Amino acid sequence: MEPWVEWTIMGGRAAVAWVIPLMLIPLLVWMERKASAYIQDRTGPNRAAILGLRFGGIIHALADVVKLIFKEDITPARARPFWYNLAPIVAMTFALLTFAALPFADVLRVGGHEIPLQALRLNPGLLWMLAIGSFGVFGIVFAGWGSNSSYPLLGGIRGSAQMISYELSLGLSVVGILMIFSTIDLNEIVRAQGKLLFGFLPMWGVVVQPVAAVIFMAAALAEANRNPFDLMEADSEIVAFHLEYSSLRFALFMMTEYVHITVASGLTVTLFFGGWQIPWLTTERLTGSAGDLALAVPALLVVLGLLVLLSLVLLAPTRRWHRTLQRLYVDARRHEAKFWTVVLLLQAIGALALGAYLFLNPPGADGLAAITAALQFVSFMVKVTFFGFAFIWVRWTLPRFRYDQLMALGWKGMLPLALANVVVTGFVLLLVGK
Amino acid sequence: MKVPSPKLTFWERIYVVEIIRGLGVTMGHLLKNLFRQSEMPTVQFPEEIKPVATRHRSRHRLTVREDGTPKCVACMCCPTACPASCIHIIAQEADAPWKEKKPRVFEIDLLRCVFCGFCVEACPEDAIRMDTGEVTIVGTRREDFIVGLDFLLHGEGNAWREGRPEEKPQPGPGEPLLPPSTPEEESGRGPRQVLRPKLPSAWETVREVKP
Amino acid sequence: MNAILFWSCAVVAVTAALFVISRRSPLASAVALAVNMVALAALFAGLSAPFLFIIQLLVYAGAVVVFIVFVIMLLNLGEEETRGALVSRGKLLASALACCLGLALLLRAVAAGTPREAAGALPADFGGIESIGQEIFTRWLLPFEVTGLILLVGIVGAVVLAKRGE
Repeated sequence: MEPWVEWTIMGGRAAVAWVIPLMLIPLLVWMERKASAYIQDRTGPNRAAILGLRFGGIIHALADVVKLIFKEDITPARARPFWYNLAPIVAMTFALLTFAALPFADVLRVGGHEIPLQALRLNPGLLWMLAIGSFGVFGIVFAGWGSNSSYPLLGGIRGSAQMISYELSLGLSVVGILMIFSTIDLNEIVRAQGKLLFGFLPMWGVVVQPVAAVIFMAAALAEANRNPFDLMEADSEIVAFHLEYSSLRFALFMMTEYVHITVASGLTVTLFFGGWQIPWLTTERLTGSAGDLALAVPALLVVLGLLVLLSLVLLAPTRRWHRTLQRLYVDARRHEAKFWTVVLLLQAIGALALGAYLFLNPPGADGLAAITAALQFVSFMVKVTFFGFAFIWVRWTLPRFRYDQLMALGWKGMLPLALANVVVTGFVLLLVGK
Repeated sequence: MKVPSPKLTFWERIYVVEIIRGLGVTMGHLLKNLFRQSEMPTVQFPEEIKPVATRHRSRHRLTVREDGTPKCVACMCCPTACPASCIHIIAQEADAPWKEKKPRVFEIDLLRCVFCGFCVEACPEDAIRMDTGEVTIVGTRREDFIVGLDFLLHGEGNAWREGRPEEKPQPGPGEPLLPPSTPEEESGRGPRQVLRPKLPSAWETVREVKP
Repeated sequence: MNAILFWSCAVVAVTAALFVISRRSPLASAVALAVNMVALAALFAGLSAPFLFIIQLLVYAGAVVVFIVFVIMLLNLGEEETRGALVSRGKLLASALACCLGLALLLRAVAAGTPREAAGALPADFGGIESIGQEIFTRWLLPFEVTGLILLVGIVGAVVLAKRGE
């Protein structure tokens, strides 16, 4: 491969790992606001609009950005400016870096080359996640220290103590997974989860290590400072570490929280829910038997396109479609119905065209590999988005822990449980004789 | 006071089962509200307007007789009763033989008004009522909210803002202040009537005599 | 490529190390230490030792320095508390000793001469987690276990000290 191609691919991999968490921020913010509203029997945001298109309130994310950009940026007179300015940058950078080691599809084999579809292919990839994840504490510490004010300092101490405590359970819960899959390479872990247990059950981490999965998810919530462990910024009762921040610096902290969610759900998916694996369809199965996928994908695309077209025909004329939308979503506008009609129509035409093209020109081995990678990427993103939503869902379900309860749960509950899980896993592996 | 914590069963103490149950509850609400949006209690305000109750005290209006003249006889009962001093009346001689006075100026400052309804209670002529059902009173300047006789008799909604000239630019720092203006001047309704009644001519003669 | 990496990391590491001992604010020192650790980790990465690279990040930069920073914050150490005499006999003695050690190391390195090329091709799994695990748990098992014991003693000592205060 020529060097410039290699560099482009490397840059592309890094860009994907950079863009996924960033693009998920507005989506997660929207989900947070809309899902919390529906959970609490409210309507949620639905007012901001562009050309009469409200998109169910997702425009509000844009409005938020505009607002945060134009707010006055204040540096308190007594703050320590170096640390104060460094804190949000450090928090955001390390949160984004963490995502780099996650594989978003299996190694792509095209034309005799192997392209790992993860930004950073490291043998000890899992340790990278833990290492960079623990760097996130610096952002909070700097914010607390740099603000030079009592409340942010207390908030920073509270937050860093919590993160340090739960890092232990997080790290120990992963050990069980490492023992079972006997590798520390994240892509290998995902590959190993493609096997079947008892011939029908995908060997996902959550199946073979359910206790570890529960501990890991709880600790991941604590690491991301999300409810029920969001003591660090419990808005309603105690003051957060980013009290003194305003404008875009505050926005960076806010976005860091959502990047943390993405990272935590990405890690949960990779370790416990099969990563990019599509259940029962391993990479070998998808690329190996050439006939399977080459027929299935165009067929699926054609069926999808026809279904969308059929639904459009059934819902036409536009008035009826509009009324359906109106009944479903009170905030829908006539514009919006038209807009979605056009979008769905284009989607259907695109799917049909692509399906027909693939049907007439059946893809070769390289094409199949590319299609496989695309499908796996979609699978990974669907899972990550779902777990991102699950974190939001948990937030609006559970009340917050008290600080002593938080520490008691971390040190006296989850840590011994994680240790016991390691011991039990070891014994079981010894007995099974792996 | 020490509140004894409730005894938890084993399944409650390990959290996980109860958490899943709780997640089920919230997901139920989410799905119900997602697919039954019209049953949500939220009122989409500008599109749907909830009717106000009949006894709701909304913006004031002045009632008229059959011949179109205001019922008000400028008896000054309502400004006297008003706890917010938001009603300003200047009386003038009535043209009909069967009533003594009628209002020349009847102004209500809606920003000062506390919507207590005392003026309605005080009125002996049923001339002022608070039954327009208008609750969204909107303006961009304080003067917008001082409404006069015409509007109180015939106006609707934010009609007092119609035909109003453009807002004058505020002087920047260092520029001379604009001369003070009144809403009447701005709205082209002629100069504002002098609020204090002119001194009767007798007084002037007295003053002339004095030196 | 490797030379650029080495020299940039080396310069960063030495500069950060100088910052560690020259800053008045304890937090600045601690963070300089973290930067130093990260630069060292990058050096390890350049020496095709990925496991050591990650462990350096995870243990030293991620855990140890975070703990140091946390303690600094918990005690709210400002510059005032840490300001002592700029020059004292102990400090002079310590710096002299350190200089001697550094000089000895430098002389040793110069005497040995820098290897012009690598001592032969590295095995495929060099520096990987498997080979290091094999080494630690077979050849160096006793030192490893003794280290574990020392850490345990440290923990027990910490618990005893903490309990005595109550």
